[in-house]
Amino acid sequence: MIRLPVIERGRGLRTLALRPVLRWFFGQPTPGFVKVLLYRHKFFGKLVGRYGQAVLRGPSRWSVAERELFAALVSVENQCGYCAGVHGANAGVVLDAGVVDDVVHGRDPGRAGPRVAVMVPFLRRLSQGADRIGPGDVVALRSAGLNDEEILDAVHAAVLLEICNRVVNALGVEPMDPAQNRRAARFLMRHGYDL
Amino acid sequence: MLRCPLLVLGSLSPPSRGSDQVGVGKMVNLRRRRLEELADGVGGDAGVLPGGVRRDLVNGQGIVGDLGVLAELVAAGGGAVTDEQIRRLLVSGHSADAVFECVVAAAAGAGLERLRAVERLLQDCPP
Repeated sequence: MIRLPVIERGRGLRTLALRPVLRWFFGQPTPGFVKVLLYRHKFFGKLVGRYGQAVLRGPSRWSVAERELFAALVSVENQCGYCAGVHGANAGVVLDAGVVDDVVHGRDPGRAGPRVAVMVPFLRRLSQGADRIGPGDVVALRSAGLNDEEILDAVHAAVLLEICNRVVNALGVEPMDPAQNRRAARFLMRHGYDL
Repeated sequence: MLRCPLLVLGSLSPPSRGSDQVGVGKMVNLRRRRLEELADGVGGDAGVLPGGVRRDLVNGQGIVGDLGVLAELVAAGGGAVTDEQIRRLLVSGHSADAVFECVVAAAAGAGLERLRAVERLLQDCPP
């Protein structure tokens, strides 16, 4: 149950009109974060959706699956079960579920390729705090062949989730079950985030 | 705009790798711009909390009072926020909108802080 009852109930014509559609697609209950995005949509949902679309979709030297993988691992780091489930399922549309699991839980980041393996520990430390990274990290990333664009693309995927994880955690949005995560993944991999 | 749910169930082929295409470089700027739009929106004029308070949170600065306590917990990850804490804020007279804005602004601040740290490092370490 979301901690702010007005978000749980929904407010405004747009939200009320969309509820049956969302129930039809996602089943019951409507994903908690969708309710958050619909609440004060212009203030947060619309803007974070546009940022998400730019970050997790669109041209990049990281594939969509790799960016979703970064999103999932940051969510695991922030102990955000909701986002870890959804973005892990997104990555799992393309990658083997075992690979996703090994990377996001830090067991074997190399399973998604050497570029991902280099980026994972950096994003994990960045998630622990901006003061946890230093010049040596940049040298290491560049030495591994990553250019600044690639580094920033991956960092934007992380930053998006640093924001969303906190909103989800603070508002008490509950994780979805695996079947709901797969439904959400089908939607997001098809339509993206700019809703 | 949410699209027709019938279309949602259409073809779901895996997305192609979006690499090495025209526009990759421009995307870094677009991503930065979209984040700035989010920060500007959250710290902008439309809100229940004063714009200055929201801007302070987006810029990673603390605020005083019980909302300040909430903002600190959000900046630290949000996992330590409790049902009781939110209930008390509402009972003590803060509106749901004010609590929501505080959460979103503090979260945006934590994200921006990390991006700025990486941008500074990249700038300070010439290739």
